[in-house]
Amino acid sequence: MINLLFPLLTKDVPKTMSDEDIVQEYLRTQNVAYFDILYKRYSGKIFAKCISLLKFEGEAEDAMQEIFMKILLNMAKFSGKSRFSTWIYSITYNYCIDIIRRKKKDPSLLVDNFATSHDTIDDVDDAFLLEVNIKRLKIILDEIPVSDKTILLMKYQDEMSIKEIGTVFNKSESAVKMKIKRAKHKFRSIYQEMYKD
Amino acid sequence: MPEVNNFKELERLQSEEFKASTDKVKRNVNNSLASFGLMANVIELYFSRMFEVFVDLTNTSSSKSNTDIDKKDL
Repeated sequence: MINLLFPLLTKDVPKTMSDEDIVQEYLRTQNVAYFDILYKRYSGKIFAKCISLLKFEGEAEDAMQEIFMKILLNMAKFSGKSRFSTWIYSITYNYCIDIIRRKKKDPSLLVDNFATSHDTIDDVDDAFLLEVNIKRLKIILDEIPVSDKTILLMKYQDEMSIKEIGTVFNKSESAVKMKIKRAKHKFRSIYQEMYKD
Repeated sequence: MPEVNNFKELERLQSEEFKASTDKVKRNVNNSLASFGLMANVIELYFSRMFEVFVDLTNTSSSKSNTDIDKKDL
C-alpha cells in the first residue's frame, strides 16, 4: 500500500544497479518503478527481435505485451543462475517461435533441425557477418530460414554463449555449434547469390 | 570478435524506429498491472471478510441449533 501512495521514482534507482539486483528489489517491494527500469533497458531490444521474427508491427506489439506480462508474472521463478538478459531473451524467442509454428502449422520448426553429424561445410569468418552493410543485413535476415535467423541473432546480437543457446533449445553444445556453422554458411550463400558484385 | 557489429547496430536502429510501439505496449502493460493490482486489493479486502462472515454464519447456525436442542430438553 505504501508503494502505491509513495511510488519510488525511476530516477531514484541508480543506473549502475544490475538487472539481477533490480529483480530482487522488485520482488521484495513490488514497486513498479523497478519494473519500469527493466522495461526501459530491454523493450527496444525485445521489440527488435519480435519485429525481426514476426515481421508485422501489430503482431510484434501483441507479442511484446504478452512477453512482458510473462516476465512480470514469472519474475519470482528467475533463479539468477543465468543472466537476466538471457532469461528474457529465451522467453522472447520461445514465444515468437511458438507463434510462427502455429502460423505455419509446423511443430518441428527449430526442434528437429539441429543435426549433430559433422558435415564438411567450410567455416565462415565472423567478421564477414558482422560487417555486412546494415540494409543488406536486414534483407538477408529476412531471406534466411527462421531457425537460422534465430540462432544468428542469439549469437551476434545478444552475444549469448554456446552453452546459453543450448540451454534455450535443450541441445548439446556440439549441436549448437554445428547449427551456427550451417546458419553462417546459409547466410553467406544467400549474400553471394543476391549481391554478386 | 571484431569491433564492428552491424547486428547490434541493426537492433539499435530498430529500437529507435519503433519507439512509438514500445511506448504503446508500455501503456497496455501498465493498464494490465493496474487491473491486477485492483483485483488483488479486492481479493485482499473482501475475501478475508467473506471468510469471517462464513465463519460467523456457521457459528450462528450451530448455536441456533444448540438453542433448539436446549428448548426441546425443557
